[in-house]
Amino acid sequence: MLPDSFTLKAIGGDILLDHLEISTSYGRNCLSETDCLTWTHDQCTQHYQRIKVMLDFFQHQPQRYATLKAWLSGIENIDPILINLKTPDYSLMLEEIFILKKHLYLTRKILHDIQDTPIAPFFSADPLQTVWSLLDSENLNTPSFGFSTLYYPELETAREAYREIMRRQTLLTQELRHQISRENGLSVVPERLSLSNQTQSLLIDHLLESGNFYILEKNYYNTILQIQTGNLFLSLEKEKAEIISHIKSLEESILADLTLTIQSYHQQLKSNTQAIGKLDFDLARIHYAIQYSCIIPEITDTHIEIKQGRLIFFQQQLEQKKMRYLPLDIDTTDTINIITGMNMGGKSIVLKTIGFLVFHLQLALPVPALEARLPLFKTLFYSGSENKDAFSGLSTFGAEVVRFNEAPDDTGSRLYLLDEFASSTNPVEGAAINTGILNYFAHDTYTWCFLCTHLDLKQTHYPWAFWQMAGLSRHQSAFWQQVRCISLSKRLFILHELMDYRLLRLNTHQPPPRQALAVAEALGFDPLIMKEIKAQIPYSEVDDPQHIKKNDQECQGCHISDTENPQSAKPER
Amino acid sequence: MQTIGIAGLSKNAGKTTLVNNYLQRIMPASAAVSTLGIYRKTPCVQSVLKKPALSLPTGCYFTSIPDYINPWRGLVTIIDNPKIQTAMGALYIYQANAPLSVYLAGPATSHELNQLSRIFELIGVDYFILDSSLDRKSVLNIEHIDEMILVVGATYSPHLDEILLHTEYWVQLSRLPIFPPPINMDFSKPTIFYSTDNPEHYFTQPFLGNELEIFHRLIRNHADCLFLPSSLIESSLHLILPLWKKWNGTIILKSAFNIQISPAQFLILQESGLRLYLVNPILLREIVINSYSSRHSIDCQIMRQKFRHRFPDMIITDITELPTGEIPCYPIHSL
Repeated sequence: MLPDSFTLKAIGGDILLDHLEISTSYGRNCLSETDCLTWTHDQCTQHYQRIKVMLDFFQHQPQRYATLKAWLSGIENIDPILINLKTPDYSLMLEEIFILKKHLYLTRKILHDIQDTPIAPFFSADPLQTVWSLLDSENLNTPSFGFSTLYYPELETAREAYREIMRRQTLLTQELRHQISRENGLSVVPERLSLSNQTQSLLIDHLLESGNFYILEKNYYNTILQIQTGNLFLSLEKEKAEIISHIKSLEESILADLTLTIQSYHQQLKSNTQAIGKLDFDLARIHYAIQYSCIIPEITDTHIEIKQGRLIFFQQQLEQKKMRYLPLDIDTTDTINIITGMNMGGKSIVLKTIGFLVFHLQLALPVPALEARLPLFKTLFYSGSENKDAFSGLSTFGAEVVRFNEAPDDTGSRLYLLDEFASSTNPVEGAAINTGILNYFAHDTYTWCFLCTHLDLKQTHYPWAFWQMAGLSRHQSAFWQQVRCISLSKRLFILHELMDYRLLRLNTHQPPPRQALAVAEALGFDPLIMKEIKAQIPYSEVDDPQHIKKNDQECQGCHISDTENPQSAKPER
Repeated sequence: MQTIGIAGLSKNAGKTTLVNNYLQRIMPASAAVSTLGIYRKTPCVQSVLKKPALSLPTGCYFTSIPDYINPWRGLVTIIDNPKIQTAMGALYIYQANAPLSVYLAGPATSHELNQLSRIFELIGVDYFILDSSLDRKSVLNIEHIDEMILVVGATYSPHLDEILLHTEYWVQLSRLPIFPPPINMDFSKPTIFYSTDNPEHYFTQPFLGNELEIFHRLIRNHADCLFLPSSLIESSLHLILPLWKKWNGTIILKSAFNIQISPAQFLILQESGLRLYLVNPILLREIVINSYSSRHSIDCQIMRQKFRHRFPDMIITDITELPTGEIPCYPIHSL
């Protein structure tokens, strides 16, 4: 089962699913089929082993990939036809046989293209040679289908008789025209004549008297005459109708015979569609891996290690705005992780990136990172401030509680991503709720939790890992006051450039940083109000920006590679 | 592949009759016929007569839907299904194994029609005949129409002068020059584009309702030309004509359909010295006249005479003179 729609949306999973280039409806079905998704360690390993082989092959053979995708793009859903085939006494229609033949043609093309390649063992479709020989009776090797005269030689006789009647009708019309032309002195005799009642009334009468024309229509100005084809022509028409009826009965027999044969291969056709779906999904995985420079992750049970993990769609958004993006580096064996940091410091993005990368394992997708060691989670749950939109009539806190109750209670490993849970209620109770949840999760070794919060959670006897976003490394009140006239977008840009988005591990518990005022000031809060606010809080209670630097030096354990030189992580503006 | 678009000035102008005639004259296996949309099996508005079905020779490719082909199943081969949906089911490409009299069905959008055109090219068709119209989703918006044939008839109006005036309008439109460089090329002089779909363009305000502002900006920036993917309508014209002489630039339009003004207004526009260019030109070289209509008819001799006199550089063919069958009396230019 995929994560719930809210989690999927929050971690960018819906965009990820949209970005998978799946060509067939069978490929899309794989998203709901358990054997294509990964719910056990072994399944996941098997999928990744297969993807690795395919990735190695297609990276060096892009043309082969393009050809396979071209074949797949032509494959239609034959499920309705397969359902019809199961109906007793059902006879396939011409268009249905054509679709089946085209489907088989493309399946055989794929089989032919991947034979003698390392990916051949992964596509277990049946070429159905008997069915193909039957449908391609004239050995044309094309997907087109018509009632070949090889099915019933009688069909050719009937067709020839039909053509002969058409020829005779044409000749008859020609002769008639020549005759009318000679008799009436007309240079050209069209099928239909439009003559003026005022100036050509004599000609109208003459032509009608000759018996070669009849009045098709008459109005005030004109009379429209149509050529009289005669009894012989009509008898030919009757003969033609009889031949068509005969052709129809032959065609019904052919359809019935073909249906009977195809029915016996129903199971093979069904399993072919499943093989096509799996191949299509695999090709989509490979395309994704190449497009976003992904790697095959290592599946662990007790370790999360990500190097340069990217929330790619967020990264793209930033890059479009010409803003820098800092990939995530994290290494932890603790199942309970608390992330603190200033507002707009990137806490939520860290949670979403972890969720996004973990979601890749559920789809057996290569991961957009430099290195990744991740556990396979059966359940993925995200709760964030966007909750409220989904639960109208509830307060923010109420929506959070209701949503938390709806979290799937599966057995097996679970990942909870809680973004500022209970932050809208009073801090004392909020902290108690969070502590309670974390303690509850700590009982279960298969449950991992990443919690972002501004609340000061006191460590209990359970092992918790504390993380902090580096935040603003320097902040100048005077600077923001001087540049009050600049636009919000410009302010955001400067703030973004000044912000240090690194995730730093803290050795010991530290209270969350208090830099909300710095952010408010940066976003253009009224200076007079700021003055009043600052009068309320003693300077010692607001974090000195240099404070972060001190923390930075004290940090140990998991650090990003450029801790020594934080500026090196920032690209040029 | 040569794509021939057959468009009528009005409904029941005689397009199907003309296509029938064409199909008698070309190698059937090299021809494909399609249309736009679906022919509904109801009597036409202007006539109680049944609309003529298309008479296809053996080997001819055509597009239709299974419902229409059902009586002829044993006499056709399905060549492909281009994954185009119509209101009455999926569209298929068929080939006639014997002479057939069928109703066509075709794609509803110009994008799908282009897709179909590419499939026919792959099959190896030499002539792609398109029984279509002059509307928005019509031959005017198809990428590669090599020639367009306009069928004008008494069904448009009982007054010959009215038919002549409207035909004149389309002939004038067909004479509009093609914009020489592709739109995406780098222009040496400043160019102002209006577009909603390309943020790279300098100017993204809608033209309709902002005509004056846009023209002032054109003059201020010494811009050379204005590309309008939207339509040029009569009310815009009233606003821009006074400023026209000051600017003295060029307007580029996507297709002739984007000129949504009356023939009389078009005449005024041309006299004002405005330079109009089209990206998709109308390659009109032949006009087929049809004096027949079930309600009113125009004297075919007068009609022929007037048309030949008014459009001396066009090929004028009278549909009532076109014989059916295998008597090639009046050679049609395009074939």
